[in-house]
Parts: sequence; structure tokens; C-alpha cells
Amino acid sequence: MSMLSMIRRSFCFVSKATLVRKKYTLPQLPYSYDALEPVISKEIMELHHSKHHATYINNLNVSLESLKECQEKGDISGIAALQKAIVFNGGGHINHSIFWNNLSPDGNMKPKGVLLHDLQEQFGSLDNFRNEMTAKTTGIQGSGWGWLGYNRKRKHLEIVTCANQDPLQATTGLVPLLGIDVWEHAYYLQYKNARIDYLKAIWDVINWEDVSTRYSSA
Amino acid sequence: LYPLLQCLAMSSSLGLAELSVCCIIAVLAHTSLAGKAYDQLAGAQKKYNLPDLPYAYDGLEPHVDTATLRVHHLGHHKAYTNKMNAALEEWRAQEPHNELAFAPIVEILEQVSRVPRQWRQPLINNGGGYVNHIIYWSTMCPAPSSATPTGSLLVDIENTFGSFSVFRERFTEEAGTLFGSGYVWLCEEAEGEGGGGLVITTTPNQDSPLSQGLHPLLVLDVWEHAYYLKHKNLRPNYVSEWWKVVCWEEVDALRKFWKSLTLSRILNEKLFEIKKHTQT
Repeated sequence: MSMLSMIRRSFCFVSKATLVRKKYTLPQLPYSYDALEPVISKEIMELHHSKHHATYINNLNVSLESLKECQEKGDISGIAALQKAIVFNGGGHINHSIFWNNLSPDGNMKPKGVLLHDLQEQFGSLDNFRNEMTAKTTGIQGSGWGWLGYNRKRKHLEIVTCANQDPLQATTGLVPLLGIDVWEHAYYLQYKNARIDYLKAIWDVINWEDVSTRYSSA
Repeated sequence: LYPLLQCLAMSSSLGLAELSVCCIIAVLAHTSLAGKAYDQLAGAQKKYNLPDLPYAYDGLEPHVDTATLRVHHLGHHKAYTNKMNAALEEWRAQEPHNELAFAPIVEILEQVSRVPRQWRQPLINNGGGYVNHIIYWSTMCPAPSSATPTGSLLVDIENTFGSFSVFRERFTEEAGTLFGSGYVWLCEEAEGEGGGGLVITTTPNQDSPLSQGLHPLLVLDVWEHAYYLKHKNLRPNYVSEWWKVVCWEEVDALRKFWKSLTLSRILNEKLFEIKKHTQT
């Protein structure tokens, strides 16, 4: 066999291998279900992670399987029809994966270094930043997320909100640094309709190291 | 009463006096709808009240739990009421000559694209929340006399969807697949005097089908706050419990409410035309 045909064959082998898609799985929480008490109850954490997040992942896997079939059949209409489900469930998986790491049982963390400096510079003070993020996130109608994101083009931090599970980067181009889930399932069992109380309390369990890490690689 | 009103509306040869009588009858017809809940929707209010639930907070047990009804009504519905009133007050103060600001909330929602931008989203959210929940409470009852609609409503559902069970399946499927917060509706198209066809539709957040030229007949709230305390993430369990408290009598009464509202508007227009004609 010639060198060229050997290379061609190995190339085909690699291409076929990439069509075998991996299935997404539920990531482990970095802490136990009761670790964020009293800010977020064990009951909420368990449901949120093992039911809601798990469901997004299952549905994402199903949608991507259907997508693969449509691609193989050249069914463009089918591909288009799947986009909503991929955004819902893919967004749900992305968002929650970030969220679990954005939170930490260590209630003594504070923003430091470059992140602290830039938050103070761009929002006036840490309190101003927290107040603005709380206000914008409280004001979300229905289900959604409040985000601190990094705008690469303008080189500054921004607070934005997204509806439902719309993933921040795909929707706005901003790099997600800190997300706060305000779907009612994130707080209702504990805080009922008092979303503002949940938002005031959650600042005590933010993992600022994680946020800084995301910022430095943004 | 309804056929009489239809005949009167279609006749163009009535004098002023006769038409005034017709208008009074039509207004009485649509304000006679059972219960205090709809009183607030019958006309424009300076300040809308939160209507009481048509039953006690434990009245829908074991299908819809007491704790949920309490928070849902006294927490969520009350907040929508207060914020809607605040938005209306502000709008009316700033635009005292804008007729729409002083119209009934139902009419404002029907013409929501004409609300100035500053108050439009607040009224979509809070005016919608106010009206949507009134309909939700009113179309449930502790001991429905029938698990299915009867009379002309049943006939129309069968003609539109094939059968009641097909309708129920489709409605349930919409409820199961609605993403995020919103509602599932059975509506009637608001065309003309007889009404248009029946349709199952969904709206996100607190958006009202009134803004899409539809008259809502039956609604299922699938915001998580409607079921999470009891059912957690298992929305389908909530949906199957909800079917057990759907009050088809009230759905029928609501259908008649929209029909007579439409009629009274037509009669009002005719009255206005005659007035104009007699003045020139």
C-alpha cells in the first residue's frame, strides 16, 4: 500500500470516529447537598442537581441523537426543528455546570486582585455591583438567569439577564463569569415568592475564586 | 337572552330608544357572570381589587394544595394586582387624555401594542398576571359536576378536535412541553358576533391571549410556583390533578361572558352611530 493511501485510510478512520458522539453525564457537585445551608437548603440542592440538571442532560443527549439522525438523512427541516430543544437543554447543562462551581460552602470568600479592582472600577464599588446584579436578576420576568459576563470586544464587565436556559455566550457573546439561577425551582421550596430574599442571601455562598479563574481566562 | 341580543344587534332599523334598551340588557348580561371574580373585569376600575378565591384555600384539596393556593393568591396574584394598579395610576396621571389608559384592563390587553412603551411591558406582565389568575381561579372548583364539558361547548370541542379525549391529550401535551414559565389555554377566536373557532394555545410568562385576538375560556398555569411546593419537578402529576378540578360550567359561563361583551360593544357602536346621525 502506498504512503498516500495509508494516510487517506487513517484519515477516514478518524473522521468516522468523530461521528460517534459522546453522551453527556451529570457532573458531581463539588460539595454535599447540605453544604450550602442555610442559604440554599439540602432539599433544593438535591432536586436541582439530581432531577432538573439531570433532565436537561438526558434531553440534550436525546436531542443530539436525533440531530445526528437528521444530519445523516440530510433532513434540514428536522435539524431546524431541533434547535429549540438543543438551546433549552444544552443551555440548561452549560448553565448549571457553571452554577455549581460558582457556589461554595466557604462563606468567607471575597473578590480579590484583578477581579476586585475591575469590579470596583467599572461599577463604582463592590456594593454597587452587588446591588445592580441583584436588582436586574430580581426583575427577570418568568424563568431565567442573571449573569456577570465579560465583553471581550469592549474589554469590560457587564451584568445581563437571559431568559429560560439561553446560554450566555451563545446568546450574547459575553463570557460567563458568575450566574444566578432564578427559575423558581432554584429557591421556591425555601423562599416561596420572596425571590429578593434568596438573591440577598446567595452572596454569602459565592465562590469568588472560581469567578476569578473564569475572568483570568476570559 | 343571547339570541334576542343577536337579532337586535343585526337589525339596523331600530330607533335610539330601542337601542339604548338593548345596550342596558347586554351590559346586564355580561356583568351577571357568577362570582365576584369577574366583577373587576366588567368595567374600568380606578383601582382594581384582588378578588377573593371562589372557594376556601383548602377547597381544592387534595388536588391543589392549601399552601400553594395561599402563596399563589396572596403572594403572586396580589403582587401583580398592586404593580398593575401602580402602572395604571402612573400612566393615567401622565396621559390624562389617553382614552386607552382609562379603559378596562381587558381592553388594554386587547390593544396592548397601543400602550406607550414605558408602561407596555409592566402592563403585559402585571395586567396579564392579574387577568390570567382571575380566569385560572374561576375555572376551577372543589367538586365539578361533570368531568367533561356538556352542551354546545362539548359539541364544539368534538367538532374542532375530534373528541374530548383528543382535546385533553393535546392540551396535556402542551402543558408537559411548555418550556420555562407560561400558560396553556383553550381559547375562542374573537371574530364577529358568533365567535370564531376553538384553539389550544400557549403564552410565555404572563402574556395574555387577549393580545392575540383570542377569548380565553380555560387556562392552566404552569409556572413552577403553581405546583412546586407539592409536586416538585413533576409537572405531569400536577397537570393530571388539575384536570380533576376543572369546572366546565364556569368555562361555559366565561364563554358567554365574552360573547355578550362582544355584543354589547357592537350595540354601543350602533348606538354611537345613531346618535351621530341624529345630531347631523
